[in-house]
Formats: sequence, C-alpha cells, structure tokens
Amino acid sequence: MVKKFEITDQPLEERRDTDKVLNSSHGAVTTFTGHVREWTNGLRTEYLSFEAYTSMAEKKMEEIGEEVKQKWKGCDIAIAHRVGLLNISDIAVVVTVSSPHRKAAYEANEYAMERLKQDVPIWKKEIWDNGEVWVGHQNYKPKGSERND
Amino acid sequence: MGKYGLAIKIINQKVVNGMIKVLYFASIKDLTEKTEEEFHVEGITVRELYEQLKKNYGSLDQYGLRFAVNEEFVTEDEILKSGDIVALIPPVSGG
Repeated sequence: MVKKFEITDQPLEERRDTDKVLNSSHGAVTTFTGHVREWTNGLRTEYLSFEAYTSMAEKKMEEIGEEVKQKWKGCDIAIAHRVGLLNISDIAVVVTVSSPHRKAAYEANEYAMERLKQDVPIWKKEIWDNGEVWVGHQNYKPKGSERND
Repeated sequence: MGKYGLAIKIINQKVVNGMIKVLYFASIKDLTEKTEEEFHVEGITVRELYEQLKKNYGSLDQYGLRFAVNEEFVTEDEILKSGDIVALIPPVSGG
C-alpha cells in the first residue's frame, strides 16, 4: 500500500513521493526537500539525529494533508520525514504537492511545511564535536556557546 | 477458540485497569532515562499528572511541554481514563 504520510528510518527519495501524488489531471508538482545543514549560526554540525512519536506524527501529517486538500481543491500531497542519524546534506523531509496548476502547488507546499514545523511531533538533535542540543529545548545548551533556535 | 479469546481479553483488561501510560521523547526521555512509564492514576487531570511528574523528575516547566492523549493535543484540564496513552511533547523541531 502506498503510504502518503510516512515516518521512516530509510533514506528519502523525491521521485518516490512524486509517484504517490501525480495523476493525469495534474500539470504541476512542487517538491520541497529539507537537508541537513553543516553550519548554523557559526556552529558546525557533525550530524543530526531525528526522533518521532511515529504514530502521532503520521496522523498529524495526514491531518495537514486534509487541510491542504480543503484549501487548495484538486491538490494531492505526500509528506515523508526521516528519523535516526543523518549526515550533512542528507534529506530529512520531503513535501510533495501536485496540482492542476503551479500556483496552488507552490502555496500549498509552503503551507504544509509551516504546519509540519508547528504540530508534528518530531524532534531534531544537533550534534557537534563538543556537544549536542535538542533544537528548541531551552534547557539543553552546549558549553561555551549561546544559541537561539 | 471463543472461550480462550474471552479469557485472554479479561486478563488484558485486568492489566490495564486503572493504568495510564506516559510516553517520553527527546529531552524528556534524556531526563527520565526511559521511554515510557505506567501509573495508577485514573480519573485525574493532565495537570495533576504533570504535578506528580514534577515531583518525580524536578522542574519540567522550562521545557515548554504540550500534552497529547491518545495522539491528540489536549489541554491540562483533560481527565485521564484507564488505558489512556499520554505523551509529553517538547517543542517540535521537524523539517
């Protein structure tokens, strides 16, 4: 069965998600891929670790998909997020929207990504050579650095 | 088959009766050093559970937690019933 809203520990491939949403009435597909960034505010990330409350995360992503389909009629959407250890430039998330025309595909894609960052229970830990932090968790600060995430 | 099925069901109900499960993730998992825990706390609110957890693990206020019950976000007024699965949700950072 095709899973359109997926948490996986396997490497992500954009094309696989395109195939999940594209149909003959769609003339536009937008694919957003989020990648592991090496430099953030002058700190060098060695790798990232993502953790999810998988069952709830997939449910929340599906709800975002329903919101998108309500707001932009005729669209289809797939979201995949990877968990586990990721290296620099690895794909962490793929948001794919297909639509009859491009405007809706652009808008819906950005909307879905913003919603994912608000409400989907996934957590990112940045690991440097001298420490680590759960991003957005204020009590975890590396020694000798000031950060704002 | 029917009889055995029933027997197993009754045993399972006995196990979960009056119990709720609490799930810990990310920084909270690091703090508690466990991924989940069960409590006999049927009928209390999420807020009361949270106060109990603070007694066990120290101040949790700084984490900016949200709460989910059975995979839906809830307010602290939510009343917990037997078999509920509560999750402490630190600020999310997917993407």
